[in-house]
Amino acid sequence: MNELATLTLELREQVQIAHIDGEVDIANAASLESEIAEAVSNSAEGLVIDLTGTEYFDSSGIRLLFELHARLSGRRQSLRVVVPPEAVILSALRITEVDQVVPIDETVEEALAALSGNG
Amino acid sequence: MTDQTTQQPGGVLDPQGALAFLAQAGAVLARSLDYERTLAEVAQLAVPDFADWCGVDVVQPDGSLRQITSGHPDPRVEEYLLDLRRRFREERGRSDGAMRAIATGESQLVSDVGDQALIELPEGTADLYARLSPRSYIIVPLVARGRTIGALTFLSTAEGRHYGPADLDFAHHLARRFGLAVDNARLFHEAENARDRLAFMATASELLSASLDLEETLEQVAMLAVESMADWCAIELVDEDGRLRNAATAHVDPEKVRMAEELRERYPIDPDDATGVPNVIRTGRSELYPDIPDELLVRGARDGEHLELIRSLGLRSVLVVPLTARGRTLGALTLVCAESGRTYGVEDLRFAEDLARRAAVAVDNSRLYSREHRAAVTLQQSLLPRKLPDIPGVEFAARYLPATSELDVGGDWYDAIPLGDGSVGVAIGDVVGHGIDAAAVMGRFRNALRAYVLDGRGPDSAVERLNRLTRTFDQNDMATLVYVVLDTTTATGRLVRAGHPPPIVRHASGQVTLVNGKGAMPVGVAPNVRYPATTIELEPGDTLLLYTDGLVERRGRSLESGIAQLERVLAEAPEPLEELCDHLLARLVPGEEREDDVALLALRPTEMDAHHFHTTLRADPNELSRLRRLLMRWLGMTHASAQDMYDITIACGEACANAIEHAYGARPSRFEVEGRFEDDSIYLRVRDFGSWRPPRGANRGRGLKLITALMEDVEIERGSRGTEVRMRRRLTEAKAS
Repeated sequence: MNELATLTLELREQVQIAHIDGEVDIANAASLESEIAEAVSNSAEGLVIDLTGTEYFDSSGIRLLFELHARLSGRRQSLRVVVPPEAVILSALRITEVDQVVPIDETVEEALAALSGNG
Repeated sequence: MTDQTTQQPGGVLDPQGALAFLAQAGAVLARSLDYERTLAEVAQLAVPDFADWCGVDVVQPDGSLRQITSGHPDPRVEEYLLDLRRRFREERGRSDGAMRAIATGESQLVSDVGDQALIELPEGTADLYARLSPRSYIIVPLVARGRTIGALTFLSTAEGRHYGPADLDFAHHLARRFGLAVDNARLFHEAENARDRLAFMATASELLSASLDLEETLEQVAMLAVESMADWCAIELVDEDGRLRNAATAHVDPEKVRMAEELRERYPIDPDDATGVPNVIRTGRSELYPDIPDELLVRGARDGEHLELIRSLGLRSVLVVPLTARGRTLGALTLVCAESGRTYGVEDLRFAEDLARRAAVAVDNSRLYSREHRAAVTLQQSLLPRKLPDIPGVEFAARYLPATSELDVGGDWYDAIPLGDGSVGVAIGDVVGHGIDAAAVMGRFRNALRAYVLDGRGPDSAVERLNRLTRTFDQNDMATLVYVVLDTTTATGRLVRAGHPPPIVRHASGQVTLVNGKGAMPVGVAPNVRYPATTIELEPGDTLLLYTDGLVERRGRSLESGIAQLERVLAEAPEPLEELCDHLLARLVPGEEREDDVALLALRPTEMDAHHFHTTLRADPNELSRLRRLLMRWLGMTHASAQDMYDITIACGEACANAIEHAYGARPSRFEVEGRFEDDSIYLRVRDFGSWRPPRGANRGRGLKLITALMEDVEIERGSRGTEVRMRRRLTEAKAS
């Protein structure tokens, strides 16, 4: 009832994965952003934000993606976002053109494969 | 409407003047919703270009006339004109001009009054009359919404200014324009009045129920009356030995209070008076004097000096109502309008009677119960919540009746604590013991529980802590209680019961069930007791009733059979929550004697209407998730698809995030979300009361982008008093109906 979203951090093959389960809005976006940013070490190859379990993701969440992207590209690290194709949150990401800047994959595995392919 | 009428020759106003006048009138009427001011400004507008004096008479709900005049620049003349008019009315009765215009709907134009005075003039005023010499007048009915609501009177006293047919046309024109504005202002005024009166009565009731010192309380009630509905208020009580005694007198001006006291000292009320306070006390019936003519003062005065004194008070309108409790008249409440120039009508009388009834109960109680009893009751009431919180999604009602004997006043309490995340903590409890000490201990329990609850403790942990804390109290304080945390968006609750009678749920279907849950012992009995919580699932329309044993326990009867009776009475109780509580008390604790305190608290998750959605939220980011849940619950009642529901929720959330940002810096503010489901579309309106700030940075811009992409017909209106966002979404895959 109190926590809108749960953040689970996972490091797989030098890629930082952040699973966000629950809801993201102006009440928690800023703190999620700083928690995720802190988790990404300089040596990480990239960051995958997994929104598979995200039920609500508004413009403050989208802002979080743009901010993290800007931060990581400065360090030559890539950001990918995972959203299943049938997810309701997808339309808002397309409207705000997140997909023009941050690649969206359907699964975490796809995202990891894409990162290592780039790597 | 054209201004042709004013261009006919022979009018008092030239066409230019008439146009200017109408423009000015339009401005006044457009801005003013204040009834008194509208009337006064309407009257003043006509002076001096069109008339030397203008009167607006408006029919009151009781059929009497309320008059506002333009005022004459010379107050002596104004006074004289009013007096003339009063006399005129008394002599002519129904045939008085304004009355006739209202009754028949016909206008009157008298171009030349001539030299003859129309009525008998007060002695020694012939000169003044001659100087004023009304030369001409027009009276036209004021019509609005097909009803005659009053009349406009224009009086010309200027030499050579005689009204003609063109002026009558102009007056008609004005009356048509004023009629609707006056009627609108009246409707608004009535609505305002009703609200003011509710607020007034709530304050007065609070004062009266918390009374310890009766005299002081009555003084406060009198002051309250003076602040809102009278220039004077006096309360007279009949002593035990039958003598009249003034218990309170109030006027905004303390100097005047002294005058009234002096007056009363020198000319005490004669208990045999045929009218006024003595008569009201004798008969138990109210008296209303909408208008006080000088004759009445002359008749009532004992001598010349008395007359002068009462004249100097400038009484305009008076009402006297009895203080009646349990069939006995204990005194009278007098309300007087003087300086304000207001007049009382039947509605005011009803209101004053209601106030007097409440005051009478307080007087009666103070005579019935000893000071200590009152002290215990007062303490207890000061510890109970003054007002149950206003939480969207749930309705509350509570009742508390103290025991009637001083020894039995106990430590019952109830509480409702908003927890900020859309849930509310609700408690009812009963401290073991009686008297003023129990009331004090109750305060300790209530506050401790509040503190733990607000600390974010779940119900089980909060009660466990309360139990541990209780063990540190000096005495062997114990209490039984039920504590529930209800999530208002899902109507699901977690309930802890500590030695307390089980709450009851009356389902919307009418079925009644006891919520025994996992009961545990009262708090304060043993250390380290576990207080397990039980989940209860309510549906909108279900009623959860918490109560104390005073409601069900009687001598010579088991608690079980008392609870069984409560179940039966609850099953048949009326639906509205307040009435439901009254019904329970009337059926279960009838009569005036109560051996124990009775407290009850009823709550009900509110039903949602598939066609309408409305909620008011604090301008706080943490409110958004609650809003989403409420909105999703509502949208779930329509045929919106999962994607529809999500997109609408996102758009609404973005608009709300804007509203929250607008509320910056201000006091705790609120915003409002309204929804409508119509023609396969969801219409939403988000309204805030802050000041608009242009979207800052890409983020807010993205919010607006989302709104416009996901919704149709998006309109954003930024006003000085807030911003309103309106939008619509046609639902996809509409089911064929």
